Amino acid sequence: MLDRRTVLAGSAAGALALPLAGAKAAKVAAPIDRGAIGTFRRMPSADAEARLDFLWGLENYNETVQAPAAERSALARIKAQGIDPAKPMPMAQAVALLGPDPSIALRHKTYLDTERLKMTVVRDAYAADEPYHIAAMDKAMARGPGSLTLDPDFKVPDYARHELHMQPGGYVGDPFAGAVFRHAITGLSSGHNFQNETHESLVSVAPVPADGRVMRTLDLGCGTGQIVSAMHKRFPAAEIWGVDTSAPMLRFAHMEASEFGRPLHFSQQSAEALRFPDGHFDMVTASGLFHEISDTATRRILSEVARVLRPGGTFFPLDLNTGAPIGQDVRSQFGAWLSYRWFHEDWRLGYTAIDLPAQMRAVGLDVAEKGAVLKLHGHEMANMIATKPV
Amino acid sequence: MSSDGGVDPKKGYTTQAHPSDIDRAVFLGDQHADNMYSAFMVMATELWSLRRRQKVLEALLSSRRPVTLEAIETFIPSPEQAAAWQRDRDQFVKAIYDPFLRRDGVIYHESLRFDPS
Repeated sequence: MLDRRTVLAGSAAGALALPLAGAKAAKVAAPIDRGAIGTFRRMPSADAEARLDFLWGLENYNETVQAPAAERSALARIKAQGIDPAKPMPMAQAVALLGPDPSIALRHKTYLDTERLKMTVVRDAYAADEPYHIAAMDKAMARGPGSLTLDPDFKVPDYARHELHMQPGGYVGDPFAGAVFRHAITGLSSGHNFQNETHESLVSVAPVPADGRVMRTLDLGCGTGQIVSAMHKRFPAAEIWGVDTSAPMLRFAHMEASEFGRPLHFSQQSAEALRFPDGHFDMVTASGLFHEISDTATRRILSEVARVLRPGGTFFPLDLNTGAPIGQDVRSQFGAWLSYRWFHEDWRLGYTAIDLPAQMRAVGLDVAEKGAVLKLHGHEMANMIATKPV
Repeated sequence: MSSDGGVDPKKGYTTQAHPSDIDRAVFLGDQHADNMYSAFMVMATELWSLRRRQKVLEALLSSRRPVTLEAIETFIPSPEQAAAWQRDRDQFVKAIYDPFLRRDGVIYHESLRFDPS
């Protein structure tokens, strides 16, 4: 998108020498520093911020006007067919029944277009000053407090190499994936969560080991570090770690953490083969991870969780409900198909089919299910707590 | 960008991802209609961006502060301004998108007289 700043920036912005990866130092024009609101760095330009503002408004309209209209229409269709809305229905049949409805189609067209456009807006805003923003992440890599470890020989698993949630380049194919995710995920909360309050709320109910000792914690699939940051706020004396397969996510997470003085440790590694000793962590978390990866990877990761937790340590996986007959009704089947097919949650259906609590028990963890009382981005999360037996 | 799953530091530590086909999805019964709806959303977004900029300019001018690029870019509305602008935005969204909810269309030349029922 044409941005007024790109036309005017030369007259207003200074020049900043920053080291570029693999190249000699070059003069990189610095965009105007728009600062932060609390702990949330503002978008790179006022126009981009305004575009997001509109899309948050449209997102809210979609949820409060179009979604209820679609729901009424869905119920009318179901009733017209004489179908029990709570009765299980095969996915293909649910799609054939609800897919052609214009109100349902409009609701989802708006939702998906809004999400995609938000990501494009953020991506374009950073790309407008690409050398500067790349250099800023490069410069932050060696900066503390905390640390960032990237693995030069790392092979990204196939299950992570797609445009998840339609994000351009996905989590691994775009150097600004972290910025896109960070701003878009805030948008997924309808313009809230600027101060990480959603993630802090979730972390506030994370179970502490019975002996109360929390010296080290680990977040799996940490992305841009929102759970990690919330864990640090709750346990400021603990050593807080986050791992992810995406280097662009971790680079953004570390840059943001160092900028705000948070001593967080980020490491690029697969949660299927963690490079930590046995019994190393008091608490392990994973927020929205398992429904985005293969069921094979899920089983391997759970084995690793059981290994790196110390006896008495707790595991708090925040994720969607799993296991039949949950979500087999016509509307749930349609929603799951839509998420899988067009929102590109490619592993969603496999996740829904497995029984996560049973899988956790299979690796030796004690599991307590408290029922779905937590919400993340409007979705009910299964409230599961696992403990490694002493 | 690496295509084999390896990470390329020269490309911002990226590796190639399989692209989404979301732009091919037809929801509104006709690809032209979908394309128009998508383009319309971009235009509405741009129009609101201009209106926001206008609000910032007016706020700066009315407070007799210097109108510079930096002042525009770093402007933060007061809580009262933010609330009023959000109301304005929500009305703007509603005015644009409410017509898409209409479902009781009548082909104009197939209706010979007004039927109030």
